[in-house]
Amino acid sequence: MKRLIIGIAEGIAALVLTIGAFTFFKACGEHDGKFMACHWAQNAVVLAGIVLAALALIRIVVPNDNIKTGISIGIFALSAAVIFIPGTTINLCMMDDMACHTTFKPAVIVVSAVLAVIALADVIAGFVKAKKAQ
Amino acid sequence: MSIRKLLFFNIVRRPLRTFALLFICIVMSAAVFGGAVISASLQNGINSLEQRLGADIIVLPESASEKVKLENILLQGTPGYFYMDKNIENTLAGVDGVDKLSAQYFLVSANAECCTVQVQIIGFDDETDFSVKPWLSEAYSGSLGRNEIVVGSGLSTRVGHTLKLYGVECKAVGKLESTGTGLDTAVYASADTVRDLIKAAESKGISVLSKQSPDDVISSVYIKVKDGYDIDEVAANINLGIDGVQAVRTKSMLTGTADKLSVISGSVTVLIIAVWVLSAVIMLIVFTALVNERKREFAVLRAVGFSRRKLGTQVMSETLVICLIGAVIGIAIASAVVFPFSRLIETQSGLPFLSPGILTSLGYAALAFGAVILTGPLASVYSAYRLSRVDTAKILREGD
Repeated sequence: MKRLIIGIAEGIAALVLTIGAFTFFKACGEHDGKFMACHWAQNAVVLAGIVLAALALIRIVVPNDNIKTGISIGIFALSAAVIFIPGTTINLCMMDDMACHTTFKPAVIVVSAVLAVIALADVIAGFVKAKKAQ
Repeated sequence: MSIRKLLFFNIVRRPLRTFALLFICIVMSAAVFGGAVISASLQNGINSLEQRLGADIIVLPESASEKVKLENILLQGTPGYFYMDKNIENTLAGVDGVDKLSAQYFLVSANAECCTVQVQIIGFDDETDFSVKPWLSEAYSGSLGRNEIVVGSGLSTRVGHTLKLYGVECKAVGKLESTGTGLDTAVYASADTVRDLIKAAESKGISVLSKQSPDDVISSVYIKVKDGYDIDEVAANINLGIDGVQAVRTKSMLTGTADKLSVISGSVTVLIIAVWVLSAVIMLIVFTALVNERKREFAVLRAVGFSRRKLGTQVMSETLVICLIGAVIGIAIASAVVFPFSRLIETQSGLPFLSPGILTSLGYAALAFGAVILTGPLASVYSAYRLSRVDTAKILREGD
């Protein structure tokens, strides 16, 4: 039951990241038919979010505890990597008062960090459970 | 079963009670920490702006307020420019009470190369300047050469890289510390560079000036008043004596912002106190209500040999553990909101917002931590006392 709740929390966080990245905390929009640098960071985050959401769904459906732990390790690694997409791996716009700096980057960092912490808690819970089973 | 295990099970096996207490602690610590950091950031922002302006009086063309307010350029980073005759600088030098003065030149870039945004360009006179150079030296110690710029902390351009402005490659030779204001997204250059950029803009068909030559105009004059002179009087003399200009006292320009800031800071302080008092009252009620619920549990513990002191310690320890966890989570949540979104708070509020340093922030975290871990155990003292004094025989006999 506890691990199911953690799995659902992972799924919700991954969905917030995916949907939020192109809706309520999206990067700067199109101007004069041109996409700015941050648009590509947004696409990368959405793509990573879709993969994370899919992993979280598989993690809920799969019955085997060890596989659940393995998937959570993947979710932890990927969500930790997403933190570095805006601004570090892919450049954002030039001025820090633009939407990609004020909203998109901090929101991606916070949601990804929360997801990474949940996944890490799941990994630890998985290892503890496996040790007890032995 | 050891005391520690009993403590653990009491917390874990009563999830609803634990969650409710945890929630109160989280709200209290988040409000105290977040509120304190927001108040400090607003105060830091206005202090830094006041220090950075450095002048007593700023003289602008009378038409400036119709185009863009200087306050908006400084606080919100709204790009703008206005010009007046360069000779006004000489006239101002003759005004009684003027100690030092230096002209500045404003220009707005066409859309900068990487993004479709405009950048504020501020030019200053290298020889006479006293308001920009003191803090330019924080990033760059030499004089700015032609086509060399210093960029604000809010621009992603790195030192050594170039920024194309009106087709002119300008090399960034320094970067400034953050001020939490619109000055962070500006580019600073020498007066010559700004004149070159105005000429470059005109050669590209972008008309910045109507008829004048770039060599004959300035945007504003920063004035330092001599000791012993009344700043308001000097400003009034300029307004009365020189046509086409407006002299604004720097402090009065910031008064509106400072007033808004004090209202917000006051509201935040009231909110912190209200949340703290409310949380303390709720905790007191919850712990008092728990006395009846847990009487039987404590009677059994007394019957199996727990001393009154041990029972009191048990209640206090449970509260302390929940408060510790709640305080950590609350501070973490407030940090995740206030620090990463500080630029959003600044742009949305239109107020200077400069987050405090790590040490000051740790101080506020300790304050919030202390407030929660003192309030919780204090609120449970009475219930701990009553539970440790339960009449074991009576309660077990009554079965209540």
